[in-house]
Amino acid sequence: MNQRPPSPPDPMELKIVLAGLGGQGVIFTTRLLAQTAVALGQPVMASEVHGMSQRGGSVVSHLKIGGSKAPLIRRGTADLLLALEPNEAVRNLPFLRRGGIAFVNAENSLQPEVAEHLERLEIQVLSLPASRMAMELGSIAVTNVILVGFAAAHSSLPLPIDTLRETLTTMARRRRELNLQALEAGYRAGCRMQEAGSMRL
Amino acid sequence: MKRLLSGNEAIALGAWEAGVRYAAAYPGTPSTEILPALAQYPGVRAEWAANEKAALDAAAGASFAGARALAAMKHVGVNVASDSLMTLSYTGVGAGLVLVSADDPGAFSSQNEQDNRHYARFGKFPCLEPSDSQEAKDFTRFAFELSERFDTPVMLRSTTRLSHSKSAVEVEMPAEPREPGPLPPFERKPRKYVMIPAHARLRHPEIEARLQALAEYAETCPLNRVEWRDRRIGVIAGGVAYQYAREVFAGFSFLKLGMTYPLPTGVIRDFAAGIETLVVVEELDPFIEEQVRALGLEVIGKEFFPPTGELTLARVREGALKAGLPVRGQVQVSGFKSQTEPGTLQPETLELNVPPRPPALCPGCPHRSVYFNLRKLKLLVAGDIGCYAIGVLPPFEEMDMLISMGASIGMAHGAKRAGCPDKIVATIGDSTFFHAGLPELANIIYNRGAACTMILDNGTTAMTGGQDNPATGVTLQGETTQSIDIESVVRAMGVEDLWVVDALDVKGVEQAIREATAIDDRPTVIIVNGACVFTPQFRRRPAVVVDLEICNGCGLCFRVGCPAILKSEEVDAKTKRPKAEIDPLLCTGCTVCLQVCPRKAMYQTQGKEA
Repeated sequence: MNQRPPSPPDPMELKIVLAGLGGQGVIFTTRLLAQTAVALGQPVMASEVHGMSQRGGSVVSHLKIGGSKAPLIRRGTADLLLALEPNEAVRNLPFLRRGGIAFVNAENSLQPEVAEHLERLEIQVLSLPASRMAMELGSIAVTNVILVGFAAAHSSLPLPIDTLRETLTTMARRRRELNLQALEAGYRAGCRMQEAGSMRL
Repeated sequence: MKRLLSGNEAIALGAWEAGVRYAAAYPGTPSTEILPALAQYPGVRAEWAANEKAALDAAAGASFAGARALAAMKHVGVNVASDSLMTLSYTGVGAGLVLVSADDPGAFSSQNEQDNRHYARFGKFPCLEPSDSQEAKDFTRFAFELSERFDTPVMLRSTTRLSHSKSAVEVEMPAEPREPGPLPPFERKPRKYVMIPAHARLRHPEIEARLQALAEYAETCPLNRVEWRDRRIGVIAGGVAYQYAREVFAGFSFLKLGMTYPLPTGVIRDFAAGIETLVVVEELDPFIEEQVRALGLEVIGKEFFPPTGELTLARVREGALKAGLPVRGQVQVSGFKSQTEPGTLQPETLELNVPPRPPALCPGCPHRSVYFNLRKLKLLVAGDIGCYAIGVLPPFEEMDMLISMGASIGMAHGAKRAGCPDKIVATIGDSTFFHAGLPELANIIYNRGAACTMILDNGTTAMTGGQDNPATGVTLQGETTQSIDIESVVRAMGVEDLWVVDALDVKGVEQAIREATAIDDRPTVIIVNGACVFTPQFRRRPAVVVDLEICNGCGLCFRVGCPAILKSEEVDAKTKRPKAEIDPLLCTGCTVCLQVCPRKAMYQTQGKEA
């Protein structure tokens, strides 16, 4: 059979805001996505935005994949938001562009007063009770990885689940199995939601 | 091989590739991560110093002895080290000596936003400013060569955004592991290294000549480059500001400065002659701009790109629009492909009003009982640099002055000595005490001061993420070492009125403060012991639970400012106020709230320790 070298990946241009509370793993999540993009041959710029850091405070990071070397994302221009906590999701919604997508760890949909704004800018919010799922798997600590799996099931995050799995395998030295299970659980939940038609492509 | 590295990790890698043998730092955001990264490499001795001056002094000694050396610190740390720095410019170096100054535009985690490029001009040594992780590595490597070539300390200036952003860096792994050989015997050069007045007067002309030579070198320095594109606008920029400017002024000409002191005046004149409108985009002060103006050139700068706060894409863009310059607006069309068009379109964005989450002491923090009691006793408080600065915020609002490391004790002393009628307490952490508190305590004792000093010993340098310090008994490279006992130090200095209390004993802390502040003719010291929740010494205990039958919503427990204590849905029928509830995941079982509760409505769950 004719062996052909893999063709270079298409350049992507993707701006992601990641948000949560101190201790929830925003920085780990950013590294997971960034390392995966690097593995795919994409240029990456990831910025942590933290102030007087402390347990329970707001943590945000900005991740740009595909060329821009300016570290921060302008409000109104992010393609995706991954939020590990509903209030932090709302706080960071203004970063999303028209038509942007938010993946949120939440039991319910976001506050109704936000809905009108979301509709105006055609922003889609996809919620998943990732904390509950993480507890069921055995540790609240893998909430972030579940949310990444969830987002990876959606076409707006063009990072293949296999590459994410490989990156996670190298990154998660402790509790590797649990982390991989979490990625899988989030991914399956996302796929199920799409099949059920509640998650638009 | 490409690796994703933060600016700080890249600086460490660059130093290692350059063969650095000794490195020292005092932790300080945003510089902290450089030394732990360096400590991982073989052949490098990396240390936490007691303060920034100790770090730079040790690096200077290493350099004089012939070893490449690095000292890293945050911008205000350079102030502490500046006594040595100014004269190190006179001595020059033995082997390459690099000072990393990590500035904090936006004061994300600092008491000011000073621009340390001024130190380069003040001290007459070069300043390099990388603008991404790759450059951070390359420039650090280059800095050592520059240092040796011109016999000068070199300042590598980073900023929060560079230090804490990650991008891909080309990593060249050396063919074989580097085994540093022994250093040759010390080469004695007293006229160069011993700065008595007679020698200093001889060195000064050499420093002026060196600066001249550096300025000539700047004209051909490979870190500076001209990028000719559309010549209607020419932008001069360095550091992270270059990245913002490149996006906003995409398609126009650039003079990208990697060495921002001394400036290549010839290159700048030629660049200015080749373009129509000259723009300088730099963070903080008009450092480049003023020097460009001094060349008689007209320039658009700080009137549009503010000297306060961090620059962002949005602020650079806004400045460009206000200045009437054509900028490129990115308009998203679909998917991830963006279409670039010129124009002035602002992106649409949601206008949402979400209250900010103010910083709070962590659940279980040993500082909580201190500020709760200080507030209760309505004392005047001189604070210091560390997590305990949060004492100034609600619900404590119990701090009246704070300026710099170690200053709490001096300010309390001065206020009292000058006749301030209030009772004054200084609060200072263990790491800060060893950093700059020791001479201040000596001062208050010597001068028969009458303020109370509270040393809050949480067993770590907590604010910067938990680094070891002279009291913790462990070095940066993980060796066990002497743990300097604060109580013995204070006693040895002659303080007899000394209380040592457990931070989680709320009444005990109160009692000590009452007794210490009752004394008004001599200095007193209270050492408050309690492990930071992030240290291995910290013991998490079963969570505290509120008995909603007994709680009447008095709200006193809310005043301990614990993020684990929430207002429950349940409202007390009489007081009409919400009762308390405790998040069992956040609660560490410190019981400060339980001790404070007047109705004894709280109890600690039994069961295994989490």
